[in-house]
Amino acid sequence: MTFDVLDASIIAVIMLAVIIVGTRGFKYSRSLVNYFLAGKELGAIALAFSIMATYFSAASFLGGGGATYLYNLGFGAWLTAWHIVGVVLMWILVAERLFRYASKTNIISIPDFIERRYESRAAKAVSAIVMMFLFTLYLTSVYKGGAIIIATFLNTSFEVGLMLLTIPVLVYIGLGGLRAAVLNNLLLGSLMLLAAFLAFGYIMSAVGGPLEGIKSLQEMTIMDKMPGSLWLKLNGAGPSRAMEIDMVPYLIMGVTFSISMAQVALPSLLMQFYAAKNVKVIDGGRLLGPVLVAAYAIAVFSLGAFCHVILDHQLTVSEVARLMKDPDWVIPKTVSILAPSGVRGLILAAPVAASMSTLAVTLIVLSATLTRDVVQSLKPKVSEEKLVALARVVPIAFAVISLLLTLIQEGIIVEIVAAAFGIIFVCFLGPITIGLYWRRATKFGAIASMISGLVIGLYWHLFLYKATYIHTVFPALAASLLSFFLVSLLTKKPSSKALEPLG
Amino acid sequence: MITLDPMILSGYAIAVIVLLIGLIYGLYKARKGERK
Repeated sequence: MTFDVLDASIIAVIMLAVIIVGTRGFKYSRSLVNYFLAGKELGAIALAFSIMATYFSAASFLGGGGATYLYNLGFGAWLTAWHIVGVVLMWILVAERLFRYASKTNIISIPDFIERRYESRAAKAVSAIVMMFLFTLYLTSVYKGGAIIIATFLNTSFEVGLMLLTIPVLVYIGLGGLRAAVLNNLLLGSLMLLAAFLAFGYIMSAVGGPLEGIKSLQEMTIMDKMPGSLWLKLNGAGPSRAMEIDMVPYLIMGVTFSISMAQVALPSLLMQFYAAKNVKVIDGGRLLGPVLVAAYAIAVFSLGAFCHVILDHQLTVSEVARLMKDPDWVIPKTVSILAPSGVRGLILAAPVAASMSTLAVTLIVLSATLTRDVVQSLKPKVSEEKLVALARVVPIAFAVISLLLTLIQEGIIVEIVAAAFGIIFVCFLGPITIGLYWRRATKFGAIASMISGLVIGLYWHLFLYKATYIHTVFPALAASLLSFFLVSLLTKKPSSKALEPLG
Repeated sequence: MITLDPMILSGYAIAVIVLLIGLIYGLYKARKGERK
């Protein structure tokens, strides 16, 4: 792949722009509420774009876009479907309830919510530990996509790419907190959507439109042995081991469900609802949020299969096999062939933008957890000024830890995100999302749910997932929800004071 | 002739239907909020 000065300068402009926006948030971020919740003044457009940009990391563009080069089109169809189900449920079931709860209680972080809802410092501590552990792991996958693209663009090493991705983010969230992150997410989210539409347009016009593309795919033979029609069946193309044991449909459903449904319980998304200015913002977001996610999903998630029609006749069989092993490179490779200089840079800036936006809010959530839920809990007399100063530098520590983890990891992006996303969703679905509705949920139920979800999730992913192809989310979700409901029913009801803010 | 698996087509169909339901519900809630 070749990139020129114009392509590289687009990345440089983005890095400069996000820092400039960060400086604008500095004077508004001098209290904890202002730093972590943008002064609770977010409007509907900013909130909807920010949640979309936080949720979609580079994996959505590289892994999500390229996945159907390996998997059949069912992966794209169901990834799109579950994403839309997830985003609609998040905005309908969670947004308003959580916003109203936060308005009544002045909570700042997700562990704050857990403490107030369950009247339990132990539940708060468990949630803080689970969040810090899982989000630090998740960040490693967030870095990867963006850093690889920067390194390729600028013809430099992966390590330098990592630094160039991370430093601007640390600068702008250090200066402006959530306000800077959200303003930048508006910018970066718009860029992601523009890039998604451009990629869709170039690829579809190259194959003569979706129907003509499917027809060409059907008539192809991939790697001289696989009929292209395998890409048109849910039990068709997929990883070779899953095809051998006839588990492709289950694998597709497991991966797509777990990535997408995470939206209804992902703390980095839900915390942003606290920052809405008023309930009208939620009303507006309920309309705009699903449209943004749907537009991006429809444009990106099915592109990989069509890339066979464009790429394969230019590649050797072994090159196609290599791309099918690491489909993250399918979209960059195709775009670099189809799009002219400058447009190519604009499209491939999307994964960089996506990495930055996800990284920024995730680091703010981690900072809120450590500053508010650990330091302020242990030392309540520390001044707010000192806590804000701490909040600005804590992201550096989490960034360094996750950078080190990134340098020692391997594997395709979409799978890593699937595991971390899936387990976070499992751990918080009961305590946050169901806890907003089910008044009988107790602190012991919440603790049991988080611990069992984490333990079963990690154990399954490490030891049983590859052997069974049953996705980690399902056994972990079963264990987590079972313990949430059973333990809650077997323990003492929460007090009426704890339930008062639920309305 | 194109023969796309109905299980694949139903994924795209569910995506569109759920989006429409979400938007209609969103409009209903927004209107209700305005009247209050």
